[in-house]
Amino acid sequence: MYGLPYTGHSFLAHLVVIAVAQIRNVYSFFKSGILDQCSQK
Amino acid sequence: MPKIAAVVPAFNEEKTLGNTLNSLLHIFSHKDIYVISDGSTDGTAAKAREYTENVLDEFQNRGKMKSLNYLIQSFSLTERYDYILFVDADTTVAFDFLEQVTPLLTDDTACIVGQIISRSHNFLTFYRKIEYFIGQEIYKKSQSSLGIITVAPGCSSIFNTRCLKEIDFSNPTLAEDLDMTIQIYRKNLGKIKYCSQARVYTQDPATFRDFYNQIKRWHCGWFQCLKRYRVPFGWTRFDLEALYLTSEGVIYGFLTLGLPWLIFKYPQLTLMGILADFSIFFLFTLYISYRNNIYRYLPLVPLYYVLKMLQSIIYIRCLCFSRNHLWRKVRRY
Repeated sequence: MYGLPYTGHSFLAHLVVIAVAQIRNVYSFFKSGILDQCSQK
Repeated sequence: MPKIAAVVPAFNEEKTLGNTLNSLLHIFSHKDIYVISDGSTDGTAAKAREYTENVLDEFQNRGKMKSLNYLIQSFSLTERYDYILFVDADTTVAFDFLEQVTPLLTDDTACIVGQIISRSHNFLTFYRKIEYFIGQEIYKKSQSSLGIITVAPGCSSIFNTRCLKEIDFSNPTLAEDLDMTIQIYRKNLGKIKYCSQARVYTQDPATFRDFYNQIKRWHCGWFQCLKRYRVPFGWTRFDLEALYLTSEGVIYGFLTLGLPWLIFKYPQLTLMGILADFSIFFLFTLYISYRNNIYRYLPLVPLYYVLKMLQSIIYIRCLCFSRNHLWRKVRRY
């Protein structure tokens, strides 16, 4: 989308999407870790 | 390990083609590199033959999309390879590009998009560096997590040949990469993913004239494709993203055009809005200066901001006259 005019609006909206995706990644990482530990026990 | 070919379309690129092919030879065998000289009048084909035997030298200039298709058909690339990397003749590829993208090449993937980095040359190419960073590390990254990447750039994307067989190359627009991207969504050919670690380095316009022509082509191509594929009336997630970005651009363009009136009518509110937008832009320029260790262009941030506004006016111009644009070659340096 290079060159397309953008403002702080879509910029912040896309930044929020990245933040949510990162939180989901961290959550699923810990969740899978806990599930692994439970299954080992 | 999937079989991958590198394809380079070139039109009068004698000056930069050597660097491109040299970078490709670090990661591909010369047998897997294919070049088409699309009606070049300089020594492009001869230069290409110094690096690979797979060279087509066409007398007639067909345009990028048609020449790519001709090359793919001539060498039966979709039958012989699993993936094809498209590289522009002004672009060099990082030596670890394939290592980075290979883990992402799954059956349901139509295309992997690498990160484009503008090669440093002057203050205009530095501005492009800022644009690329925002466009890729913010917009493209978030679009990738939602599965709605709007453009798979023609100089940094690796396509599944299964999907290339389904793409119609016969009626090209000014933005062939956007055309191919929308076809992938419309025909449900698979996922498009962004890999920021897979890098290519490209040469961007170094003069205002070339910069203006390139921006105009991108914008006109954008509107041509939206019109051809009836975006946003497919009402998919991609359509909604395209609608969001397009409408924001149109509003921004009209606000820029009406800026003198806005300042006259609502001076405080307008200046606060500009200041907020400028602050975000300034912070990013500062960050990119720090990342690249180039601080000499920082005093030009106000000029860059004006350029950003001018781009939005060009955008409105292209919205109204998207048919009247001819492709013009960017001068190499």
